[in-house]
Amino acid sequence: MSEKKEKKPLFKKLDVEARFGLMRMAVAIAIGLGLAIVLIVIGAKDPAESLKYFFLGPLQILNPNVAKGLSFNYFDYWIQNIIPLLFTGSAVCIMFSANKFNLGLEGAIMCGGLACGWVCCLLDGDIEAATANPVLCAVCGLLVSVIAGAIMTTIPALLEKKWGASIMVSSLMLNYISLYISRYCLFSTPLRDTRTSKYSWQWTENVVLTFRKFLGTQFTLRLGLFIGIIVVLVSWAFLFKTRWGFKIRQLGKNPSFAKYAGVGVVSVGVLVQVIGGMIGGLCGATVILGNYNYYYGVELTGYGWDGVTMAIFAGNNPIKLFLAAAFIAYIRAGALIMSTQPGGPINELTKIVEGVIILFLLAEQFLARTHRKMIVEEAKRKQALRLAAGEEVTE
Amino acid sequence: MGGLFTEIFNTICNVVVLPSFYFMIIQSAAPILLAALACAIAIKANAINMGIEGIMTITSLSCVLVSSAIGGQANGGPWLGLLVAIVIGGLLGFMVSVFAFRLKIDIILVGIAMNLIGTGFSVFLMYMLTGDRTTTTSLLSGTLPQIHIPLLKDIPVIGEILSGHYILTYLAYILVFVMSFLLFKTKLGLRIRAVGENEEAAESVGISSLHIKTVALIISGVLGGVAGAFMSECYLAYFSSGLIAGRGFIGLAACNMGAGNPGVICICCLAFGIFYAFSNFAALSNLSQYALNALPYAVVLIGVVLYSIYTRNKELKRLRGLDSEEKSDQIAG
Repeated sequence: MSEKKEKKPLFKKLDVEARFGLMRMAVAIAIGLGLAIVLIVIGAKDPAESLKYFFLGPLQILNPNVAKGLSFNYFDYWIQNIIPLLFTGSAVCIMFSANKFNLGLEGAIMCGGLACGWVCCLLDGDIEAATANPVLCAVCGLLVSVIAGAIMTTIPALLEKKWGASIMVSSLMLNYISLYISRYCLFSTPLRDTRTSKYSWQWTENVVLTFRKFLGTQFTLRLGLFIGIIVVLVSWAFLFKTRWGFKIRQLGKNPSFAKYAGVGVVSVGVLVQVIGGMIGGLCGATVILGNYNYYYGVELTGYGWDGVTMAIFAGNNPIKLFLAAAFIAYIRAGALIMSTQPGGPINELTKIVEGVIILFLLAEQFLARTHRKMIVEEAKRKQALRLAAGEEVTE
Repeated sequence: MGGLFTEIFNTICNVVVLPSFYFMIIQSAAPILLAALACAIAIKANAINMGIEGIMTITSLSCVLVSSAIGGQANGGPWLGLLVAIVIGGLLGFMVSVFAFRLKIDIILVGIAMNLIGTGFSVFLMYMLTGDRTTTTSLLSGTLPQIHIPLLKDIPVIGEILSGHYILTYLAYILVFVMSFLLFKTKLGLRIRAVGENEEAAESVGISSLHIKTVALIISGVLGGVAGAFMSECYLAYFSSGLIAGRGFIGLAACNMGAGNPGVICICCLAFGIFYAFSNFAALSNLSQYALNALPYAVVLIGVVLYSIYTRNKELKRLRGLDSEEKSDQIAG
């Protein structure tokens, strides 16, 4: 509560648009959380218990395993959920900033993970014969994943550039194609561990450990989180502090103006999608390397769609992704923990909450009357100030 | 490589002689056709209904629930399920239009939100009512009837192919004609196309574009509802969490390929059906199952590209034509 009091003067200092934006976001989130509470009360056998786990679960307080000293860890759910959101959020922020509705991130993540898994298997295929340096192995995996991801989103970009094929449709189709490429590689090539039916060959735990250092037994420090933070910061700097970023935002705001102002509309349009795919590929590799020591990709991850959610929450500004990702990951982790408790409702309800929050965040006309009222009040206040200062006011 | 080609050739030869292959083409194209027609009427009014996937998910679950609630097959449950799916689909279409045009959200993003809510809500509801998080097999919801066309069914091969489909399959193909009629022969269709071509021009002659777009999206939602009912009452007799599996998106792609023209869309969907059926039938051969599964999507992708090349060339030709006309005008002047 004390935090709110401190923020109040700051809140007053912001201009009226920013204040309205914050208010609308607060209302949208309140509606979403209200809906979550309603759904939990409807769906849970013991609503009070479920609500407790939903809201406090990720904070680790309620974890019965803490006392038992197990590494199974609620807080870690939260961190684990944040990581892909940071990557996909930045990728979509960059692509949507230029108004390119490339939905091929899902495929980029799939192919990135696959390429990374393949490289790790090649370098460090079998546990008994592990020879490669784990750091080298992870770095190679990440590099290759970047290339693979970039290819998946560049294809629709080039198809649009060359022939005007709809980016949205071709990227959607490529998602499914990359899913089947992944399944094919996993089941019909030497990638598959012949001893199991589901996974690729395993690489040594060391490759994973470079991504997961233990601090004691309780908390997992995930390297993926740091890569994610770096990616967000770099994307923010790229979008808001470089000439390219300026061009990208110009293109998104007004393509005709950008064209006449001398922005290479076509090349910038392709560039953002290449970058988006690169980040997507990196995301796939980080998720694979951060959690498993084998490749396992037989279903689409859904992370690509999360990127869209994230970009909307952050208003295409990557720096705001930290808050957005922390929030969404928190409710997801909370819902997951809640759903593992006996009698808890299913964690899919977060999707409903996210969808509803998105709708209210984006709705231009939502709270429009309050918006007008706020502007009028602000104008009156300024007028009064100026009158008090003795200026002449012309109506 | 040569071995692969002979294998492919042999598989094709083996498959194309089976009547059940053609039966499957017609069957598997139907839900995509319904989804594509739903997108088509929206796209003609310049509204991309990306939420079709979510609409299909919700409606397919709701018709299973309604049908089993009133006693399944014996009490005519599937019919009531279909009706409810249509009503809910229409309501969801209306919701999309409210969010997109009254609250002024980008319609693609409304669609994405709709898909999120659709998947989330259907799984939530399913788990709450049945305690199962993947399928509703525990509910006996039944299926809509298959129709055996009286004289046709006795003709040897053609009867096997064309007769015995589910009623909604026939409805899907009938709707192609209905939709063409609606779009190109009625007042509403003319208005929808006018709004889609040029909103301001349509407004200037007194057409309310908001009203027309809303109507188009409601019809789109209704068709999405029929597609949803097809999935859980014809394609399968239950709902499962991955039931729609991107069919709404494929429909959107087919609609995009056909530029919203029902006839062309139907051809695109049948082309998809051919490759879908082929990938199912060829699963018995030595060809890679995963490559075969990717085939229909690759075909849609190639189709979209080819169609764009075609339209671009046409546009260029038209522009060139205008050019030469201008020149001849100048010469004449």
